[in-house]
Amino acid sequence: MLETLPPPPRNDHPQNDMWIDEQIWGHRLWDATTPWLIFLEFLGVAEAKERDQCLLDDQGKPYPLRFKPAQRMYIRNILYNNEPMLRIADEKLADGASWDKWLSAIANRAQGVPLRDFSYLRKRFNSFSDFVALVSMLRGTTIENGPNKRWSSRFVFPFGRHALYEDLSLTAAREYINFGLPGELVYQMLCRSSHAAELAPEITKMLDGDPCDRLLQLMEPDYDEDRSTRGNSYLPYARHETFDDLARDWLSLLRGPLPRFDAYPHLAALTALHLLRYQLVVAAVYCFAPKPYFICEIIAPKRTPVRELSISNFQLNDTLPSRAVDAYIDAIGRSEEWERRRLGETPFPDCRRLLVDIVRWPEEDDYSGQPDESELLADLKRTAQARHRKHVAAVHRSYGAGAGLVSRRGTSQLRYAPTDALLKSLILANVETRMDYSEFLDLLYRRYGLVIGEREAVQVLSDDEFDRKSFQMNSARLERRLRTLGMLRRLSDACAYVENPLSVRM
Amino acid sequence: MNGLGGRWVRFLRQYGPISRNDNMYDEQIRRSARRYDVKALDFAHPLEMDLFAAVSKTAERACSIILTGTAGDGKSRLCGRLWTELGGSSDEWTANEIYQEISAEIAGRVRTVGIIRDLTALPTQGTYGTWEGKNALLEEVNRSFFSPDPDWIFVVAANDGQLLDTWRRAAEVPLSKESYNLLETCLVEGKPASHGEVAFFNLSAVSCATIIDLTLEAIIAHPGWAAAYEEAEAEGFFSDACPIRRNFEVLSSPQFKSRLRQLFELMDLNELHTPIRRVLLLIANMLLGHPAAKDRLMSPSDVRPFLRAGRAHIADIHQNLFGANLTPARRESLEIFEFLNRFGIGDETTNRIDNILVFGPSDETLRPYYESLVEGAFPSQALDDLSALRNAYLERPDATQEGEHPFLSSLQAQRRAIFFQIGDDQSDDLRLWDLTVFRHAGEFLRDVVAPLQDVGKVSRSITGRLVNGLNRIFTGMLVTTDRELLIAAGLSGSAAGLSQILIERISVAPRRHERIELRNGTLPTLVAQIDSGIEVSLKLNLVRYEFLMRVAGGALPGSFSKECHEDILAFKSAILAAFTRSRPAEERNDLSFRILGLNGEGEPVDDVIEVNCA
Repeated sequence: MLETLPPPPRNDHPQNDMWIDEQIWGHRLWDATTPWLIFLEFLGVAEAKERDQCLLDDQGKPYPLRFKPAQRMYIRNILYNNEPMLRIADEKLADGASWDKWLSAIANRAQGVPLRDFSYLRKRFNSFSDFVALVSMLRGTTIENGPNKRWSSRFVFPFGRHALYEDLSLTAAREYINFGLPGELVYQMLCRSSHAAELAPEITKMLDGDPCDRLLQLMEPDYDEDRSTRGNSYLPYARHETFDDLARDWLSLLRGPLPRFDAYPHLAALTALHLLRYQLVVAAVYCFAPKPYFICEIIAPKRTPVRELSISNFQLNDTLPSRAVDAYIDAIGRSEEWERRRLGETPFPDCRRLLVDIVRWPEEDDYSGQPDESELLADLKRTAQARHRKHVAAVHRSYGAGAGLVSRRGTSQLRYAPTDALLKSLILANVETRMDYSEFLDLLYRRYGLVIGEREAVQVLSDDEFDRKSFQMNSARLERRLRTLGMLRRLSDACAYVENPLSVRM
Repeated sequence: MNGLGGRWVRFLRQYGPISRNDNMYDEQIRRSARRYDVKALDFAHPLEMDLFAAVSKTAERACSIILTGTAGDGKSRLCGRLWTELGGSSDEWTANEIYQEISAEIAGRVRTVGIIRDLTALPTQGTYGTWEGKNALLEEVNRSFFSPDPDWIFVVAANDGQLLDTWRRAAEVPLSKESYNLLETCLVEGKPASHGEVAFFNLSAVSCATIIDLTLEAIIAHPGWAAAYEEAEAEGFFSDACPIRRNFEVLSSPQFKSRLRQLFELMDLNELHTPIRRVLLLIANMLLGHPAAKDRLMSPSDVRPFLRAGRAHIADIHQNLFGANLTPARRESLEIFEFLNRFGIGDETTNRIDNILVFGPSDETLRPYYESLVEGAFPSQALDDLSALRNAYLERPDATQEGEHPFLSSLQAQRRAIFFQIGDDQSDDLRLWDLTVFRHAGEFLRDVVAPLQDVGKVSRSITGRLVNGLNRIFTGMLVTTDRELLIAAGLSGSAAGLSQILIERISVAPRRHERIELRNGTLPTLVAQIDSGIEVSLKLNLVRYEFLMRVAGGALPGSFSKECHEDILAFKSAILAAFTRSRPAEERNDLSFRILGLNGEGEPVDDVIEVNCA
């Protein structure tokens, strides 16, 4: 079993009616999110910690993670709660008149700001039309996040610290729908990785220096924002290989030749991929299952054996988290303490109290089932699975789709089929200049568990499942795909190189 | 049929796409030549002269020689020629020894030359001259790279993939790492390495156009054809109606040869390489291909039965060129056909051409074109078939059980024939190159490649259109300007489609230290000079040229080729990086944004907005 940190005090999370998924993977892996939102949430935490001068340094105290994220209500109102601006601009009044009209309109509309006075903007911008042009320019960089209707959940591109803020509801209360805590987990993972010290300066560079960041700073008045302390997350492991894998990819992308902002979509995608791996790798340990792998189909025009294998591989991996929940509960039932209590004088209440201690269930006077401890365990399993299915079970599918690994393209069932964008991210993060193609396939298997070619497939599949020809063709399709994307050079029959398109061209 | 002509044709079949073990190619060809008692094809490899110069008495220095390339580039053949050039006898050479030595005077004194015919087939255990085992031999080879005046030099022939692999695996042999770096630099970057000396001949670097010239000439000039004319049998082999004879006559015609050569030039401009062996395969298939023959290649004995059955005309050289006579699997597995099919000839078309094909015989204005282009290209039997199909189609276009009407599928063959029939003088009028995927190929050859080679520059309008295409990709907007290159950056990186921040405008016409021009090179190269001594260049292969011209003509940058789009964006990044290097960032207290927009005519306008930071 993996060595975990002690669970947090119960009262830190009064909303949680059970504590199983959280103890296995952390509080929490939230499914209803996208890689960009996780990335933005992470940046918000990092910015707050950098302000406190302890970026990626938990100073020996891994729990709790407390930080004071910015809210930046002035900017958000200007960018996203500013319907009058364009209307007034169209009226083409004199500069002074436009400013007057707009300032009074925004003062009426604005929400969440301590002082309803935006007149500081007048000194900073040479004219109202200048101001309008720049605001429109910034709006164009908004991160698209699906049908996000409320203005307080719209996020501008993370140019720097002044572009970062936490998710709020319309009443300016912190909500956990869009920033559902995986970003905080990512922060803690990087913090606990072996590359934390090297990463910290790279992340600091992400926070300052861009002209748009300075522009956003000028759109805020000079004041000390009243910040609330947040920090609700819990990561159960002090160390884990996936933390180091994640950190290594971050370091490689941030230090590479990519211009900084160009690296962001790749960072977001690979973070989602590593979180997915984290969930499955941890689950596999609890289930005593072998380390998970991912059979990737490079999209073929018709159904191939690789597709079949990929579909069943996906379905098998999809069951790992729920099996881990069962295994966790079984382990409780097999533990010495449980046995001791079961053989004691009052087995049922004693066992029940043990459960309450470990998994915070059942609610003290609420249990109405049979007074039998094995029934109790079975009931726990049922309830835990139902709770698991609501969100944590969907993480595999959701993060997989977000990263570009899981898709239904060309077929009706989900399976692993990496998109061009994911392939590019993997190459940019792992290939410095050029790498032999078969070495690349081997690296994808060793680092990420991705199985594409025959040499890797033969290591994980049984004899009757393994079909050499179809994996060879799968690999050939990947070669062709990479060639059309300009990331592979074929010198002759035996010799193909994967190339990092930036290192080679520049 | 047993005369020289018939034997020659049967021998020629051996070059075609029959299944055969490629490793024994040379040997089998030689044996076939003996069996049929014909002279095998012989022509000097383009690199032969340079190779001989490297081992001549008057060479400047003696160094080892690497002969690399893909299978079929002619490495074994060249080794053999080298052997005889150095004084060895050809009998000794054909004895199939993988390693042979010979003494010769090179660069002023006598040395020993060890020839390794095929590096990968060299067994690990074995006696090679005075060395035991492959590793010992490799060690000596390595030494010869790094000594200034070696006693022993080596000629090593290996496929390019296995060349580097061998050295990488032989890590324990002394000097292997240095040798690997030396060879990798020569192979991948094509320039001489800084440390060590080797005469590196990459046979894959020979242009396709050179190869097609040599091979066509060698085949067409073979005495077997003259003999075939004399042996012509009535209604049989090499009669008037014989498809082999027909194909030979088309192949020898200047019109066909010149169009074929243009296709090979375009393959060069697309950075595609095809080895000599495959070009010979192509020519044999062109002449002899027939979907119903054994191995899909005709022999002299097939001609009479095919003629009698009225099926001989299916052996159409224009279809055989694209491998239409082969199974789809075989066609896709042979690179040369895959390359040629990439042009899309036969599938692309224009309304004008299709009108000629469908309505030509019955329409007055179109009839002259029909006569010159179609009737001239097909034998009478084929024309009869086509005529019947066409009439059936025109009467009842919908009357088919499944798929499309057979007349429509026959259009592919007709378009292919027309592609070769249209003369250079008609190419503009009939828009010859619209019959291919590369609509601007003709312009590329005529208005870019040729002028660059002749006078070193191209017309302003070409540069202007290229710049316009670049501008549309650089900015992500439908901008219209060809007088300056707009270097625009996106706010949030290149991932966003729109690049609104204007960094700089570079004038096309020379102005102070700025200019944009096309220069000659292995490929036409677009060079942007942004400051004195600072240039950034973009090589224009055929695909990139086509892409830029299509974008300039209104196509979206996301279409036609993803790779090209990325390439052009990388070019922009290189220019941006050059700007940052040449203009060090000044400490600026003010904040300003130069926002790019378009006016009503699509011309770029930029607006500088300043923000007060006080």
